[in-house]
Amino acid sequence: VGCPTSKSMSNDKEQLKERILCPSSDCRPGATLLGLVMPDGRVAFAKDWIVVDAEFVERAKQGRSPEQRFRFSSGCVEKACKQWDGCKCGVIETILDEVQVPAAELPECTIRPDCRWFRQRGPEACGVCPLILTDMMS
Amino acid sequence: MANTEFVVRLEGIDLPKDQRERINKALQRALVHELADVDLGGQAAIRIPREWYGIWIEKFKGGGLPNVKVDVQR
Repeated sequence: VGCPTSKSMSNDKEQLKERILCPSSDCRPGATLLGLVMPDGRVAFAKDWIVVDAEFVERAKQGRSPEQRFRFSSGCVEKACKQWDGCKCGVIETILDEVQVPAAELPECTIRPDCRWFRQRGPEACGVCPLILTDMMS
Repeated sequence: MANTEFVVRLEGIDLPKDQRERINKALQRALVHELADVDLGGQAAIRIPREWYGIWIEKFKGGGLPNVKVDVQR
């Protein structure tokens, strides 16, 4: 199955694409705080839409890496990301090739309708999502 | 499931809308800034390292996930 080219996309699709969100962004002003990493390693998702500002980022960076403690979301940058494979995000594809975690009940999530991973893989992405973090200190 | 809620209820007081909104924004801002200091000590099972050079899937603490390294460099 080929990827839609930019020429074949309608204006509506282009606008829709703009709203797609990466569920594993780094900590930066304007990012959405998706949730907190719990002691057992799973992410507990926030029920409310929480946008972080410069003060949050500054404070968060004073402790353990904020990306190890929280999950953030911001706009999917597609070709600007090394994991973009031309028409989809390679991160969730690779992870789901290795790990399947049935999601008996989808976790609370503020970005699901616009989430890149959910749009690509549906509920199975939500099954592994609480186990993932973006480790900026590696 | 555990929940943590922060609710401020002022019984018998009907503040004007603009004041309610201002106080609400201030509370939200304070909450977000305080959250920045929270560290529950968890280590997630699947880490996506900096620079997106690869994905390492680590054994999830007590969760039985496979200890697999996945290299997605091209």
